Parts: sequence; structure tokens; C-alpha cells
Amino acid sequence: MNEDINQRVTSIMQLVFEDKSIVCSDNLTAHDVEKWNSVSNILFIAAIEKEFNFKFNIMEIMSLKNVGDLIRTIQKKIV
Amino acid sequence: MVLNSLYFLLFFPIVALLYFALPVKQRWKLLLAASLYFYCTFDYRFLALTGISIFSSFYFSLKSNESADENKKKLYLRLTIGINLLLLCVFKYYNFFIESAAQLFENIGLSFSPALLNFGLPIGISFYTFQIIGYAFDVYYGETKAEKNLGIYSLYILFFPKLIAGPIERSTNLLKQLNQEHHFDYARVTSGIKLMAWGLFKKICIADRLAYFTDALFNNPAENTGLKAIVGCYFFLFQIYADFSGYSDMAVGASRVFGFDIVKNFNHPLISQNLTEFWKRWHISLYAWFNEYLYNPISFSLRSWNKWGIVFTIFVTLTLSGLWHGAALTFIIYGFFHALGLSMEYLYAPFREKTKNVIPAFIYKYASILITFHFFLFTLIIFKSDSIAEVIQIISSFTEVSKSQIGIYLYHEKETEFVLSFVMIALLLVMEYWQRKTDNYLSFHLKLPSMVRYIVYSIFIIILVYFAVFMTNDFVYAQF
Repeated sequence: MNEDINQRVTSIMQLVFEDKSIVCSDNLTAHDVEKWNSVSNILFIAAIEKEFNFKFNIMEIMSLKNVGDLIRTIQKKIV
Repeated sequence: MVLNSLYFLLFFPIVALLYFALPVKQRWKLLLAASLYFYCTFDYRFLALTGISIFSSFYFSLKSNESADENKKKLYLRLTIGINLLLLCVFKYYNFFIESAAQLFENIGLSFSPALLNFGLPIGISFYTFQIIGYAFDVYYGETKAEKNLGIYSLYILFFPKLIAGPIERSTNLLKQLNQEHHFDYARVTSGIKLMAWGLFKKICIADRLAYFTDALFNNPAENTGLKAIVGCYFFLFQIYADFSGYSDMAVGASRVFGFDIVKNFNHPLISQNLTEFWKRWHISLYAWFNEYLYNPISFSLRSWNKWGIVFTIFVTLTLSGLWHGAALTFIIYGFFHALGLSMEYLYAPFREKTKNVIPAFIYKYASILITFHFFLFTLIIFKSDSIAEVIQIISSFTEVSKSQIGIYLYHEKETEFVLSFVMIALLLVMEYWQRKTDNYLSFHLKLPSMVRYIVYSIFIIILVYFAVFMTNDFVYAQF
């Protein structure tokens, strides 16, 4: 399941941040991706919610430090 | 006691010497005492008020940390924000809003005499209030643990190098460092002193020199038309940059002497190619605060509006960031124009991308820098003016350039200062360029023999004293 989530998140990141070379990894942060800024971040979150069909709450979003945290949160939400 | 005063030049070395003479574990107490003394040199009557802000946020954050109940945590967060925003609003915005309301009522035939408050403003209130609110959010979101030592927490809020005009420090940075031990480090101390010296130079040799011309324009726009208005506006951009980045360099340098790394507030903003980049380079700590604690939560809650949610959030955030600077319509409009610019930039991003692909890269780059620079210049005219009528008066007078104005005699009896101002701006830009090329831009002389180094230091001090403008000009951002 983890592999599947990784792949789907990678596809969304490549699409939203317009970079085909992005590969989802635990330590990846906004600092590592050129077009990952406060504007594209919201579009990214909205795309994740649509893809996995759930809603984040503000606490979950504010506590995310990297993509690893995001993957773990998605896992919890879709179980 | 401002950072560019002789008083501070005496105060700082005494504090630094005592700091390193004390045992490591006791040093924070000296810094707290020095910060309290520093605060009281402005107006000791406000100490109780600042004490309320500090104590309430300290107490509620501790309670929030101890509680497992989400509703209680929310309550403590709201109490901290409420108390601190209330104090900020009463002292900074009450007069503006009550006078605006009185004006509004008068326009519809209902006049009343508003009761105004004439207390003045606690020093650094806008900066420390935002730092406190940021801390409360960090504790609430679990980014940081609530500080248990009231003394350390008070020092985090009142730390004198950054008290007057920031940077607005995150708890994850400065508070963490205040709980660590800092030993004497010769290289850090000397690099901190050099950064302070360069900051002081930017303030008293560059910004205060330019202030002569910008004050002339903005105090009397009717008599400073044509080229004087144009030059005055350009000078104001360089003045405010030299002034605020000079203050920030002094704050970073002074903190570095004590062993602390506080955030850089500026990162070469004048070479920004667009406004998004500009706001990551200008007054970084304030806009990082707005981004983290206002933009992110609002845009997140409006994400179902898609791009219009983002545009709406940009307008709310930037307009409020304008109002943060002061209780005046011009500050709100300053923020509004930046919101407009950023929104256009966001909405027309595909168009800009297409343009980028058809124009040669270097032309696109320098045209982008020039456009961003001049957009900022335009908004600064609003920022500095007392009213929109004054903005229109200044900008409309740009066309009144006469042949007699061209040359160094534009300002009679100030020709030398006028020419020197251009030299100082050129020096600022050269140093900026050098800084971009190397982080060690203030350490070029370290490879020189010690004798030559001391000659370099002596020459710098002579230049600093000789070219300084000894006026009692506060830092521009100290008023906020």
C-alpha cells in the first residue's frame, strides 16, 4: 500500500510542481522543489485530498514537516 | 537608546565584557537585565504592559502544553492571541479607527468628538506581539514545547539586539538557542562586530545622508518637484533599504557576538525578478510570519475556492501586513497594491512563462528586475506619503523636470552631499554584489598581515566618522 501511495503522491507532485524529475521520498521538503511555494502548496493539498478522497484538518497540515509525514498521514486517513 | 547612538556604543561592549566574564550558566540573566534596562531607556512606564503580554503568553502556553484536551488548548491559544492583539490594537490602532469613525459619522451628519489616547507606543510592540503570537501557535501545533523558565522566555521576547525592530524570531530558533550554552568564540565575536560596523555604516553614512533629500521631498512636495521629486523617490528606496538592513545587520551582528544566530531579514531584495521572490527577500521574518500564521491557515480553509481562494487570501494577508506598519490609510493601500501585484503575478503565471520562452533570457531577467524594482519604488511613495493626495502630487510632478534642474546643483548648498549620496549608493550596491559572491565579504582582510589589518580597521573607522551624518534619526522601522 505504501508503494502505491508513494506513486500516486509522486504523480501529483510532478503535475502540480511541473517537474517530471520529482521522486517522492521521506525527507523531501518544499525547499527541495523549485515550484513548491505557499501558493502551489494549497493546490497540492487540494489535489491529494481529491486523489485519496478525504479531508485534512488544519492541525494535520500545520504539523507536516516533510513528505514522509504526509505519506504517514495519508496512510492513517485511508485505513 | 537606539543602536546608532553613542550610548549604545558604550552599553554594548560593557554588556559583552560582563557576559563573557560570567559563568556560562549565569549569562542569560545578565542579558535579561541588560534587555530590561535597554527597554526602560525608551519608556519604563510600559514595562508593566509588556509584562502582561509576556506573562499571559508564558502561562497560557504552559497550560496548553500540559493539557490533552483540544478545546482547552484552543482556548489558551485564543486567550494569548486575544490579550496581545487587544493591547496592540489599543495602543497602535485605537486613535486611527476612532478618528476614522468620527470622520465617517461627520460625513453623514452625525458628529462626535472622539476621546483619543495619548500614551505613545511601547517600544517594539508590533514586533514582540507577533513573536508572542507565533510562539503560542508553535506551542499549539506542537512545533515547540512551552518554555518553563519565565526568565528565559522573557529574554526571548525582550532580547535587546532585536527588541526595537525585529527580526521576529521563531521559538524554534532563538528560544532553543537561549537554552544552550555559548562559549567565547573569537571568530564569531569579531565577525559579529564587523557586521555591526557595516550595519552602522549603512545607517549613519548612507541612510541618514539620503534622509536629507527624502525628508525635503516628503515634508514639502510642493517645493520639490520635477527631478527633485524623482531623485527623492529613488533615494527613499535606497534610504529605507540601507536603514532597515543596516539595523538588521547590527541586530544579527550583536546577537552573533553573544553566540546566537538570529534570522537574516534581507537577502538581496533589489535583484528580485518578481514580487513572489521579492517577499522572500525583503523583511523576511515578517512575511514568513504572515505566511505561516495567516496565509497558510486561511488559504487552507478556502482551498475549495481554488485559485480565487488563493487570490482572496493574498489580499487579506498583504493588506493586513500593510496595516501592521501603522495606523494609516497609506499603509493599507501600500499592502493592497502589493496584493494586487502578487495576485496578477499568480493569475498571469502561464502568460509570463510563455513570454519567458520567446524573449532572450538575459533581457527577460533584467527587465523583470527593473519592473519589480520600480513597482516597489511606486509602492514606497505610498508608504512614505501622508495621504493619497500627496502621492498623486509627487507622481504628477515627475513631468515638471526643467533643464535648470539637471546637474549637481539640483540642491543648492548641498552639492557635496548630493554627489556623496550617489557614491554611497554605488558603494552599497558594490557591497551587495560582493556579498552575493561570497559569504565572507567582511573577512577579505583576514589573510593580510596583522599590521595591515589594523591599518584597514583604522581607515574604516576614519571613513565611518568622517562620512557619518550625525543626526538623531531613529531607524525607520523603530516607529512600528
